[in-house]
Amino acid sequence: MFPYPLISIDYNEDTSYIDDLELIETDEEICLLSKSGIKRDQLPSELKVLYAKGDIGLGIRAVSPMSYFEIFSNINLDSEFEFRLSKENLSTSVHIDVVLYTKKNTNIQFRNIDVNIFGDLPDVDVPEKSFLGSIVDYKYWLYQERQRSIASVIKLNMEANYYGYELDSDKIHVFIPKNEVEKHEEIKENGDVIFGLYVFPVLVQAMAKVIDARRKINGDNEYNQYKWFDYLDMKIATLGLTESDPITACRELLEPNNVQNSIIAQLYESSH
Amino acid sequence: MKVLTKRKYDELLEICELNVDKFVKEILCAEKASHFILPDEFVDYTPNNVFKLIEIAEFKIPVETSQSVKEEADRYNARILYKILHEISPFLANDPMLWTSIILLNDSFREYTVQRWGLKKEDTIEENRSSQAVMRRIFYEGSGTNTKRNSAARLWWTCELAYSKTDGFKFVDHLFSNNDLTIGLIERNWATNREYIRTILVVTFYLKMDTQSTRDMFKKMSATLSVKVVELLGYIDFLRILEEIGYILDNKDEIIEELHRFDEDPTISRSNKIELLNWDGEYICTFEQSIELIKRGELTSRGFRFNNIEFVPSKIATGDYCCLGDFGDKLIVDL
Repeated sequence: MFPYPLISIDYNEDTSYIDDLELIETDEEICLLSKSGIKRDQLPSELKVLYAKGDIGLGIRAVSPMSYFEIFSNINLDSEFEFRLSKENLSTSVHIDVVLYTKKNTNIQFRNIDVNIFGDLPDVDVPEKSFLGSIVDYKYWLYQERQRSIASVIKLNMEANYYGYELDSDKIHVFIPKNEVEKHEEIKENGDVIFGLYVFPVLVQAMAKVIDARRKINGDNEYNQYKWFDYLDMKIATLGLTESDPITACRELLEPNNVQNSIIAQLYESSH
Repeated sequence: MKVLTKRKYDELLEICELNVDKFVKEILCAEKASHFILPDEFVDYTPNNVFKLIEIAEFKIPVETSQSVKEEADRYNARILYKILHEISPFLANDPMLWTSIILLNDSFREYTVQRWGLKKEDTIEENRSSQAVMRRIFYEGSGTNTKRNSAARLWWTCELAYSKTDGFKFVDHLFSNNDLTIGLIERNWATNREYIRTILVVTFYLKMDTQSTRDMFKKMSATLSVKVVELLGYIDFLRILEEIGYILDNKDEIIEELHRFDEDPTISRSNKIELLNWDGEYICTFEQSIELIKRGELTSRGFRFNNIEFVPSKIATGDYCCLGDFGDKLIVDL
């Protein structure tokens, strides 16, 4: 197993393999296309040699685990490609990546690799159909999923005795202290204030968990099985929210103000 | 068929989350769905007549708590469910509303779910009745393959992954008889490769693997597959990997033959006549034949009617229909 992580970590850091990738979603399908294709010049030299010899190959794969669906299509370097997926086969999202793999048993000589931190690496025999690296890698959420309101993953409990929250279910549960709210007329009648006082801080906590998980290499954490986690992860990726701090990310998520107002209305509606 | 509105789904989910005892008592154990749902809380989802069969289908309820009786109910109900809904797309098969509606709105399926998972207070351990445990069986929440623990989705997806036209439900039954195999297959990433699933099903079937060997096999396979581009692998690759990790496949030729049989698609007769054979007084109409007749005929309270012939659920062939009467050895129906 030794060589694979080194390769995938190193190669995944480079984002310059492709510069005109376009993804078009229609009612029926998703189409991924590029006129220029994956650039040969960007590949490390030892892989260029192996590619030229026909020892390694390149392919696009799409996987939708919820639907037990996968599709793989070989592509060539510096060549136009078009990859179509019927939405009938997908659930709410699909994971798409471009992978490098060995077409046959291959000897890889790491001496050409531009990674000095590992020192001298030995030659390695890699069996056929082995994963070498993923050079374009992202998750795509279908339009309907991207349009879903954040209200769909937050649940307010307006009858609670205390202020608190829970993140260990599909929705973020916010417990709002009934007595506190009723004591102050200005809070009771004002959705904005309730949102700012009680909901926003919880949202920031949840966002922090997601951002933290995205920083880790494999991204796994105890919350990634829940819908709210998937939702915030999707919003960060699709809206390009700031990942340096969760407060800014939440502010960006709720802009413009009319979005926030409609969220408040939806939350209230589903809480009574 | 009837499908819950989003609002009703959310309302029921909330009751389950906040007060699971109330949910079990007032919803799951209600005698009729009409006791907890109003006419404006569901909508019709009926792209064709076949879907309406879900409303009148009678699912088997395990009357004993033994595992074998529960598995028998799984096998029976999986056949009914898959035969009715075999044409739905994977997209629809991931719709929470579909599965929760089947469980809650079909009275016999609701009762099957309660008995199958021991959700009544008096006959279960506390762990099975936690809000999370009940939610997993009734609702289709989560963002991964853990959603397949839903009581109805689990049956359909098991059939979707293990049913084949040539072998019928042989490997579906095999999956239902080994829970570790089901979880190991359905809840792991490699399951997106259908040839992987078929290889594991056939090999575990022929090698008669027990629970411990099944677990060991998944562990060893995972270690090997994690460095492969699994999408590129086929039957032969998976068999080779199994041999490399120490499994001796004495009957390899037989296994390969079995694997390739999955791909064969027996030609379906496009005749404009359907022949129904007499079997102990029932003229059996297979589910595939029934669908042709239902599309052209009309649904009744127990089944369907075509050319003035009444079809009702067969007592002999699970999930199939039949007509009763005396028409000799066979009844020929003109389409």
